[in-house]
Amino acid sequence: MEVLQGFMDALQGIWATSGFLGNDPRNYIMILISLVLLYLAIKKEFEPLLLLPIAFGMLLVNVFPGITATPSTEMQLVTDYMAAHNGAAGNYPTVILEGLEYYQIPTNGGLLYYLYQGVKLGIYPPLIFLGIGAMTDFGPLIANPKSFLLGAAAQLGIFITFIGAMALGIFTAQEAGSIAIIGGADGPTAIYVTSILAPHLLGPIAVAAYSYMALVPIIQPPIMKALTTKKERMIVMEQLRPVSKLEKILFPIIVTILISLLLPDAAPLVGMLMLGNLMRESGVVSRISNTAQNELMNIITIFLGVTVGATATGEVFLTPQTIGIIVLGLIAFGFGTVGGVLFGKLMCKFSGGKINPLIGSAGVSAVPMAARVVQKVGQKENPSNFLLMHAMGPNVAGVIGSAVAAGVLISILR
Amino acid sequence: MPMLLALQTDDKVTLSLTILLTGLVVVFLVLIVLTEIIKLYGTLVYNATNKNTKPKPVEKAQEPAPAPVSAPVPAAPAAPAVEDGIPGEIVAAIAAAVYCTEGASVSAIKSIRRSRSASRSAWGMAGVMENTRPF
Repeated sequence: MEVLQGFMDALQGIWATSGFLGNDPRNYIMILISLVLLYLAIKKEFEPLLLLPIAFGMLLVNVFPGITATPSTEMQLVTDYMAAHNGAAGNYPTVILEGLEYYQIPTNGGLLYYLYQGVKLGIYPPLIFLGIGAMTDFGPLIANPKSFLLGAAAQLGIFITFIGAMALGIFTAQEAGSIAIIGGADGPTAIYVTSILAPHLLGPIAVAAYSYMALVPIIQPPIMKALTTKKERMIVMEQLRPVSKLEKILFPIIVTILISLLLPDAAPLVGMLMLGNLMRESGVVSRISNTAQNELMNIITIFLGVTVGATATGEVFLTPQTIGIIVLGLIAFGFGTVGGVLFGKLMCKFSGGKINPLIGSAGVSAVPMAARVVQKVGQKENPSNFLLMHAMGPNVAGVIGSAVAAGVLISILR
Repeated sequence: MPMLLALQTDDKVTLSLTILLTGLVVVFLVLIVLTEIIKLYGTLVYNATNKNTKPKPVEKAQEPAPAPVSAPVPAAPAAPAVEDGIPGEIVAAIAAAVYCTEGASVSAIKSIRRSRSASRSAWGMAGVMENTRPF
C-alpha cells in the first residue's frame, strides 16, 4: 500500500513540475512558430545553419522555460537545514533576518543561461567575424577600392529605419537602434548591437535579420529592376586587376588600425574580422585559419543560434513590438538596396557608364547571397556578363560598413 | 519604455536626424578614407612590383599579339590606324602573325584596335561559366 501511495505521489510530483501545468498559453503558440521555422530551415533551406539552431532554441525555451533560468540564491533556515541533514551544518554563508539565521544556498542556472553569456557579453559575434574574415577574400575590394562607397551607401537602410522605428512610437531610442541595424544585413553585427543596446529584443531581431537575409533573392531583384534601366543592367565591367599578396596582407592591418582608432566601439567586430583575414592572407598560419573558418565557426554558430533562439519566449515574442520589428526589418533591407543601387547609378554616370549600378545592391552585406543576386540579375539581361567578382567588392565593403554603422549607433545610443 | 516616455516628439526628431546625419557622414568618411589609403598603397605596391620586373615587358609584349583584332584589306598599303597605347612592337608582331596565317593574300593592315571582348578568351569564358553556374 505504501509503495502504491509513493508511486501516486511521485506521479503527482512529476505532473506538478511538468510543462503542462506551468507553461503560459503563449508558449504553445511559440512552439508552433518554432515548428514553422524548423520547416523553413529544413525543407526550404532558409539559412539552415542558423535558422535550425535558432528555431530549436525557441522550441526548447518554450517547452521548458527553466532552461534559461538565471542562478539564484535560496534562503533556508539553518535549523531546517540541519534537521534535513541529520544535524550536519552546511558550508554556506549565513544571514540573520528578524533574529533567525538563514543559509544562503546558491542554485545553478539553466544550461542555456550559461551558453547565453557568450551573447550577453558580446563574445560570440566577434568570434563569428573571425571565421568570416578567414573565409573572405578582400581582393575584389582592394582591386576596386571605389566599392567601399557602395558599401557605405547601402547602410542608408539602417538610418532610415531608425527614423521609422522612432516614428512608430512603441520603441525606445536603444530599441530603435537595434532594429535599424537589421538593415546592415549582417547577423552577427545585429546580435552584437542588440546585446548591448536592447538585449530583451534579441529573439525577434535575430529571427527578422536571418529570415530577411535568407529572403534577399526575393526582396532585392524587384528593387534592383525598378531603379535601373535595361541598358544599365547590361553594362559589362572591366576585368579587375590582379592584387598582390603584399596588398592583401597590408589591408587587414590598415583597416584595423584606422577603424579601431576612429570608432573604438566597432573594434571588436572589425578587429576580429581582420585578424581572421590576416591569418588567411599571411599564409603562415593555415592551421588556425582553418580552425577559425571551420571548427570554431561551427561551434560558435551552434551556441549563438540556440541561445539567441532561446530568448524568444512567448512573453517577449508575441507582442506588437515583434510585428513592428518584422515590418521595419523589411524596410531596412529595402532601403539598403535602394541606397546601394542609387549610388551605383551615380557612380555609373560619373565613370561614363563603366560601372554596372546593380553591384550597388550587394553593398548591404549578406555575404555572399547579395553578390550572387547581382550576378543572377545581371546575367538575365546579358548572359555573357559576369558581375560576381565586381559585386563581391561592395559586398565585403558592406560588412565593414555595417560594422562602422554599428559603432556609430552604439557610441551615440549607449 | 521609461526612456520612450521621457523623450518628447521634438527630441525624437532631433535624435533621429542626428543619427541619420552622423551615421551617414561617419560611415562615408571612414570608407572614403579607407578607399584613398588603399588606392595609395595599391599604387605604391604596384609600382614597386613593376620596378622589380622591369626587363620582362619586352618579352611579354609579343605574347598577347594574337589578341587584338586586325582587319585585312587588299587595298592601298597605307599606315594602319593604330589604337592609342599599342606599341610598335605589337603592331609588328600582329603584322607578322597576319602574314604567317594569311600569307601574301593580305596586302595591307587597315587598322589595329583592341577587341572589346578580348578581356576573356573563349576558354576563359568557359571556365568562368563553369565556376559561376551554381549561382
